[in-house]
Amino acid sequence: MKKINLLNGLENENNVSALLVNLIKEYPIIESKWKNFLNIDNIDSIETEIPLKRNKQEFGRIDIYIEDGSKEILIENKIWRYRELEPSQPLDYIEYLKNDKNNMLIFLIPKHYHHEDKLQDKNLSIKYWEDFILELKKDKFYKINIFIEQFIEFMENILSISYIHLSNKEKENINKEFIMENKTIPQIMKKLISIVDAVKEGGKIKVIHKEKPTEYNNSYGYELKLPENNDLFIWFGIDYDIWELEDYKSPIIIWLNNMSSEQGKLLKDKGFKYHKDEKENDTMIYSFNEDLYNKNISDIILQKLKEIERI
Amino acid sequence: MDTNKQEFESINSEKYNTKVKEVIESMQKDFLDTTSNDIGLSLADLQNILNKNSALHAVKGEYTGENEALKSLEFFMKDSSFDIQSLNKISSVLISFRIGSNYSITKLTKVIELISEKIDDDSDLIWGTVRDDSLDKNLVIINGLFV
Repeated sequence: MKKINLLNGLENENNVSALLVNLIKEYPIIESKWKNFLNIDNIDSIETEIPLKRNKQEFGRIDIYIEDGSKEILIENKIWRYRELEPSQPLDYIEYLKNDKNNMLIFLIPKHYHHEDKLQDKNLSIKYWEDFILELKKDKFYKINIFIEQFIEFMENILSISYIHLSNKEKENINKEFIMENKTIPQIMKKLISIVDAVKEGGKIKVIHKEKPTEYNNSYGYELKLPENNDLFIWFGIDYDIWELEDYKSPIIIWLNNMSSEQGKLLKDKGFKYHKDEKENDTMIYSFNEDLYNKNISDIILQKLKEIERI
Repeated sequence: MDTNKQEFESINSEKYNTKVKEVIESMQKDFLDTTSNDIGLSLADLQNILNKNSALHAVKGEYTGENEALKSLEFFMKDSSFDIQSLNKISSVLISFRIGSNYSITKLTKVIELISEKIDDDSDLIWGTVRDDSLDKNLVIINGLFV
């Protein structure tokens, strides 16, 4: 039987907030689990994307806004580990709530959120998506409703973007000139391949084909499937030839060609470098360099690909 | 919102046949009316489907009563040159559901399931909702584009 995915294409924070709030409003059991998770007693109203204003002053727009009769609860929702905070976050929200100590500010984030260190403030609390999903799955009630079941699966997919990352020792070895003499190479290669696969699987990226190293081809990666009208060629993965080059030094890259001059300008601003391939064609390459050793590397690659798709 | 309005109005629907044009214009209105708690479609979603170099089919329907979401799709497809059996030739679907303020989004499941079952695994199905306080609680209005 064909696997149906009801929520494909809805992977952004606003839509996830809206889906969640719709489910909370509709199912008392989800409302109960949500209250339990947030440790609150009551929900009089819950809405998404609410602009915060006080005395004509604006304090941004909060993803989920709850009133419980006696206090306001602001929830900022982040689903991607690498997604930046807005420059005004969390200070604007703290400022908005400062006159009433009963009010609450919560950042709902994935575990290992890249910017969690910027959220260390006594005026806010952090809750993890993974814990809420566990709460939802506790008594298997979700299996009675395909929509709820798929919401959980959809969130698990987003949250499962892999934590595979390279250790400091492996980092040293990657940068060694005679890497092939190093005994850690099989483990490093396995990890690099896992990182590339995690981007494809976790990000639900549509690809045209998988490229494996052959006699004529020194790379492992995926070519992205783009809309018919988009001529851009996007490939990401491990390219051994580029890895050797002094300019890049990164085993994992994003490789582009067929870009228009306008796209080229935008891509340059995003850190892509022009490169002549073996046939002297203009291509552009993004190499991950230091980010390669970040524990969120799969998420970082995925975010970069999403940026390019929007160009 | 003004920026959104300008962006959506920048889409030229004049080159399409009457039905497609009508659906594009309804979708533009849906996008602009999106409010809190809606699963919002984006301008990029609409542009992506309009930019495809294949025949564009439009479905516009409304239904109130039992199984309203599914019926609004099936009923209006019957009168269309495009029907559910043609879905296996489709590579992209964009659907906007206009629903009452208290309408359950999980009631849309059957429509999304039906389309998902018929289209190819590699096809895209993107959907969104817009809440409309003026609608009867069991009324669903569908605007759909299929390529």
